Amino acid sequence: MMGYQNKVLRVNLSSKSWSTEPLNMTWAKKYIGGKGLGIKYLYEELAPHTDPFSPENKLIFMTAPLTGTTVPCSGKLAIISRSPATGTILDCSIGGHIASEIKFAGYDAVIIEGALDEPGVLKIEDDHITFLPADDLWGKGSHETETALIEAHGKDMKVISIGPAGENLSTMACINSDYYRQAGRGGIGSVMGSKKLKGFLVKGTGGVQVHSIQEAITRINEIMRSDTLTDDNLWAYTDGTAMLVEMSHNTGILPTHNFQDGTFGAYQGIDSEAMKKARSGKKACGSCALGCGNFTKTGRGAVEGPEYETLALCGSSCGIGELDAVVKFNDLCDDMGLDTISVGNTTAFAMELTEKGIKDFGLRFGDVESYLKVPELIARKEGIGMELGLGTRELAKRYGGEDFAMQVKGLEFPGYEPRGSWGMGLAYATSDRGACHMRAWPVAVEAYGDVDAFTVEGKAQLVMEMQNSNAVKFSLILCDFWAAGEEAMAEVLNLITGADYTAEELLAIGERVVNIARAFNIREGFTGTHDTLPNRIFNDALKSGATAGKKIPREDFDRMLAEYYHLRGWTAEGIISDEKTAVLEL
Amino acid sequence: MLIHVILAGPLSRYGNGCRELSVEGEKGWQVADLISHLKIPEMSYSFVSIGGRKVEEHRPLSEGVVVTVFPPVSGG
Repeated sequence: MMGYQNKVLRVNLSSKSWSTEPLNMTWAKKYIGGKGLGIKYLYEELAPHTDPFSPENKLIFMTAPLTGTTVPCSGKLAIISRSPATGTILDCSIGGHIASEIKFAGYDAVIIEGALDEPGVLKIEDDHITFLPADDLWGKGSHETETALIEAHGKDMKVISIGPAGENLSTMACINSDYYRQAGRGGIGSVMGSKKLKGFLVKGTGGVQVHSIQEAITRINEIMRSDTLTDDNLWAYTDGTAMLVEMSHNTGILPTHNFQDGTFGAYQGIDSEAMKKARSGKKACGSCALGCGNFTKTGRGAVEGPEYETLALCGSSCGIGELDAVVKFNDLCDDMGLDTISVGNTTAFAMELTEKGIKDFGLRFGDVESYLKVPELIARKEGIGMELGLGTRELAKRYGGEDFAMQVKGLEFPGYEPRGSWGMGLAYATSDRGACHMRAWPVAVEAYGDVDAFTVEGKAQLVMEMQNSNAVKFSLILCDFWAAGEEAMAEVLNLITGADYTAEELLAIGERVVNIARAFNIREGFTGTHDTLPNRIFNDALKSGATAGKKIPREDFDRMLAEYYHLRGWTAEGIISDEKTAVLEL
Repeated sequence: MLIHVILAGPLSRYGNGCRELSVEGEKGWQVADLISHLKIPEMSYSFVSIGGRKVEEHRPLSEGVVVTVFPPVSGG
């Protein structure tokens, strides 16, 4: 099929050797690329129960057939590994310009194996691969690292790097690119750190062959006008994800004071209107027509963002209503190489533990000065950072508060209150990597739409369909901000590859991807007992706004989960049935 | 009947570029009447809020009420 380079670069850091091999096209036809194909590779190649920090764990950088083309919003890269935070499968995606460069260098995927003895950097220039020392970069922040690498190797180089958090094996560590783009969740940056790989540089001089370039250019331009640059997607450019702060406050789902409430009195200090007043520039990823990136400059610092998740978890959930403080916190997390969702969530948890007298971390809701010290302490494993870096689940095991440690499978909640979007609760519980908003986002039709948010009726079906569709989207590696339906996804995939996928076939692939991820997790010992939520969601009613008095009754959640398993063709224990395995040809 | 309207994000284009405006409504108006008056297409907004709470389109409007209209969003 066109669109693929039909080549995988396999790098062994232990022996400082590399080889190339053909992409497994049998798998590519069944899993496309990105999330799906990356998980398939890891499922087949990784021995069960591999320690995520061992040299045996792999780090797979996977592109898709659309990568490197002008298909709108196709500029992201998928990164797959076993998560050190959760022990589950982990796939993240990162924007910027690194994905197309890997493709232009001639590869569909780069698979990193083994570990370096000393800190190093991998440099890829087409088929010229070199291993460079990085002792001088070890300990430096991501921003300084990227600048140093570009100054040393040229501005045409695209760079991926980690900060001190990844080096110190923080399970909240992310991977950075283009200074402000992150593969954020599940400690993906610490896998890179465990391999002593500070970064890698890529420059490619090739291109991507498509099925019919004339037809592709014509139709992609039409699709861009009719389906991408539309009213529905305009918010991404004018306001970006900060738009969701005001929407979430008005629908009672804005996490506040560690999910003790769903509205935040000071929300106007951190909403998109506040951000517009401090906006200093715009930025887009490669192949993006929407340009959601907003630079914000305040007295304390400057950052691309903050995005909604950061504003919610590091803002309202920590009781911080000052944009200036959130910008600085965000900038520190980016430079240290930390996931703002998990850091913000854990900080809020520590604030509640402190205020309830369970364990005094010296952190209180709304106290900016102590809050701003957290990112660097976590990244460098100093002071309270030694313990906060463990995340909410481990902190709760140590000190208590498990009922309000807002996590699933060890991954902290994103910024949407499930008690105001019951389908979101199911989506968090059944997500393949722990609490995640990118596997399904029922919030759009529940809290922000006209589907009843406070019932379980129809939610199992809704979540399953959204998960399948998003699995397709992230296997094509299309950005979430293009509201592309399956018909549009099939059309652009066919334009590039020359294949004849139908929308129905893509959804079947999405179901297969969800199941191969589930199969990976089952092999690691996960069952339905792990598909649950913190007791706060079941027992404590929210206090104010549109969700006042709301909680998800445990029996309703259990009924929703049982229906979900049934619809998926899984057993009552959440295990994939033999029949389903055969039908999906996993 | 004076109604205060907030058009969130890109919806300000339905207020000639203004995020906040006042509309002289008629007695008996519901939310849907205001949306129609502003000429906002059905697919171009996601929900309407009054007093920090999402409301239905048949919600009656009253003098001095503040109505916020939100755009559709995707992703997360």
